Amino acid sequence: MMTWIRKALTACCCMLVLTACWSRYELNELAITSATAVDREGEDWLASFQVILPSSISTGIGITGSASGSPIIVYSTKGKSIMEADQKSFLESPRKLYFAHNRVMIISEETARRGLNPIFDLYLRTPESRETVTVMITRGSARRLLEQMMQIEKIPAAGIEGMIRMETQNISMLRNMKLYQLAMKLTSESASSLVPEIELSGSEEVTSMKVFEKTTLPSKIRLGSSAVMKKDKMVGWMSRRESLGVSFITDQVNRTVLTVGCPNSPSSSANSTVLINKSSTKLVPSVQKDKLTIQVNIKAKGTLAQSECKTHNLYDPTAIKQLEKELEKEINAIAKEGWESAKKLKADVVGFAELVHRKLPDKWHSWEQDWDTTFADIQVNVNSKVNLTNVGLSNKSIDVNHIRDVIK
Amino acid sequence: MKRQLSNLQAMTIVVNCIVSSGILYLPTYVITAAREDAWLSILLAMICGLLFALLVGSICRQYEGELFLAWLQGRLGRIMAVMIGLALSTYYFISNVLTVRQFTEYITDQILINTPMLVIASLVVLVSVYISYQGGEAMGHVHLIVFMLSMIFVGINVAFLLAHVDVHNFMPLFEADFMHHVSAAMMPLGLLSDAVIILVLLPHMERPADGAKVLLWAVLISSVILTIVISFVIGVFGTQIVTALSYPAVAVLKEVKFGSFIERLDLFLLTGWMMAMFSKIGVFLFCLLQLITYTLRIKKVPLLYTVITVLVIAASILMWDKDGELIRDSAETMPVYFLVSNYSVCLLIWCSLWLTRSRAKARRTNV
Repeated sequence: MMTWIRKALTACCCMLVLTACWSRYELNELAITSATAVDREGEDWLASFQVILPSSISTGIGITGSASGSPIIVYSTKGKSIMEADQKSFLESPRKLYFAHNRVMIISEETARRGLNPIFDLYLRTPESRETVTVMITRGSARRLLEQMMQIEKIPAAGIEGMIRMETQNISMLRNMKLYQLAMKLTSESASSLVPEIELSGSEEVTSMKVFEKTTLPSKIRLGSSAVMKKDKMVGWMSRRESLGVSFITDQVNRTVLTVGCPNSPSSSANSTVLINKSSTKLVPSVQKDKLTIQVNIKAKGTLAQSECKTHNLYDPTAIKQLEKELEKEINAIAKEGWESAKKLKADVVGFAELVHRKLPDKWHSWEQDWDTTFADIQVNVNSKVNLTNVGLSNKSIDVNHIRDVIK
Repeated sequence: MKRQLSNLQAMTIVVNCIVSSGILYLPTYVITAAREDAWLSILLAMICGLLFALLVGSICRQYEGELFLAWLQGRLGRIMAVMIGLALSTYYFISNVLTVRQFTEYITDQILINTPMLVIASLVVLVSVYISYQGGEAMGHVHLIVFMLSMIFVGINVAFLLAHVDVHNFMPLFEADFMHHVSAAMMPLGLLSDAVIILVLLPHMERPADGAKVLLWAVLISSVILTIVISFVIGVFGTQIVTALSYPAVAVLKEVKFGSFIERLDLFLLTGWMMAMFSKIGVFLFCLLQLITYTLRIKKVPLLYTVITVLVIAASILMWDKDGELIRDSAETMPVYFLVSNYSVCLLIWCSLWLTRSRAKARRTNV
């Protein structure tokens, strides 16, 4: 009997002390944040939060489902620091903001131009925040992007994250940049990075569920170009094509699509489109007369996806060779444009500083102090090699008139 | 005294003691000092650690049964045994206090943010006292299970982290000079000196003469694990941002994310790490109680348990007012103390045994 009582008392004691009662939060006390936005208003920080409404997403299928209300709510708070603004959320919400499911952080251009150090500090210091959050920059207000609804995803933040993930996998023009990766890039020798832009197309913002009664929306969220970061500040923009060039140089092309004119074709409107399935880049630095030259060797494999080139017999190796040459010219041009843009902005987004540190450590120590000057003086030579491995299910461009004439 | 600690169990005890503390602050310290070559500093420390293991192993081979201090008293006299007992007791007390505070600090920093440190420290120490109260055999089983589980968790995390590793982060090689390596190797060397625990565990081992073998394997495995941890931190984070992070090894694990369905695998490894910390504190308390009981000839063991429990909890809370002081002590002051204390005590024991070897031989012949 005494043993039983002792065991019961021990169990009760354990239950009392093992509940983590000081740090506990019930699920209905939490506001699950799916995205955050950071704007500046004068010297203040404006933090906006896209909070999921569990009751609205728990029923039905698709964006509207059977629930009538919006699946999210957006609210903003202002403070002298982001954390202060975050804490002020208690002034207007009965729930504690919970950031473990935060997928996306959208930063306004002004905030990015004024510096991201406070954001890095907050995310790397506080245990509740996630460094794997995807960072994006937008022109204008960041908050309005959180308010925008998406058709295909109930939670817009999940949709935005999905968009950039798919883009990185399939087009490689922009790169899905996690917060910790951005911090790593900006603390590296090159101290520069690209961050994808997110924008609103169209005019009227979609902030009400009523617009989903139509098949098209007056405005939608889409990915734009790339913001160029140097140290902790934004210094400019790069077009998608230039950004793809940087991806080629930095060996970050997973898959992409290239459209080139037909070789020797008199018609300038006829094109061939090739899906690049694999690409690898090797950078070879060399020094001549204390001047740095970097040889960029790109090797790519692709599949012909569409052809309008009438003269092509795609089983003819010469025709394929000509097409490969056109693709090589295009890749060289894209990479050159990326490099020229980086040089113009004086931002080493191509990571040449790390390359020199790795491959030419002695030279690096002499150039390290004035890397910007050395960077502006680098000679870059691009050489690409394309292997078109597959022409698809047809050996020529489908032109019904031409095929009919041949049969006759 | 039951001798039921197998060589494998003894080895896992040593490995758990070394690695569990190393994971927290070691990466930042070593990478700050030796940058891309930090993993080489661990290997350098390993070489010194193996030499130390040979020294301790030599003491193990001369061991002739009974309690460690009782054996020393027989060979070196009461005064020497008391001095060594006090030195080792001090080491285990300070080490215990530091480990309890490190564990508590991590939990209050990262998990139970609002829970008072006193509550967490009390729980940690009470659980560990219970472990130590179960004796050597139970601790051997616990450490073996903890080690095996931790290795499974390490394997899972390594498999998922491989995709995040950039080998370029290790370049350029051999940039750190020798002095940087020496500076970087101090902390891992201090951690590896925890291997001295085998001396107190000798009476519980089935084959005490195998102590050298156990230690060599333990130092080797611990160094390999620490090298893997450092390498993954460098491979994923590079060497720049790490210098600003308090717990980079834990931060690295948080980056594992595949799609939207696999993430936060760090929880598995953290579970293993917490088990290892409880086990380490348990075995250190066990050693502390054994040493104090013999050195001070204490008869009332339950009272001693109570006093030690209260003292460890109080010291771990009161010794460091700020977490910055704890991190500085963990990375800079304490490793030097551990290094000096453990190495000098072992060297003292080894030299004394060597000087008295003829007397011991004569006594054995007479017997």
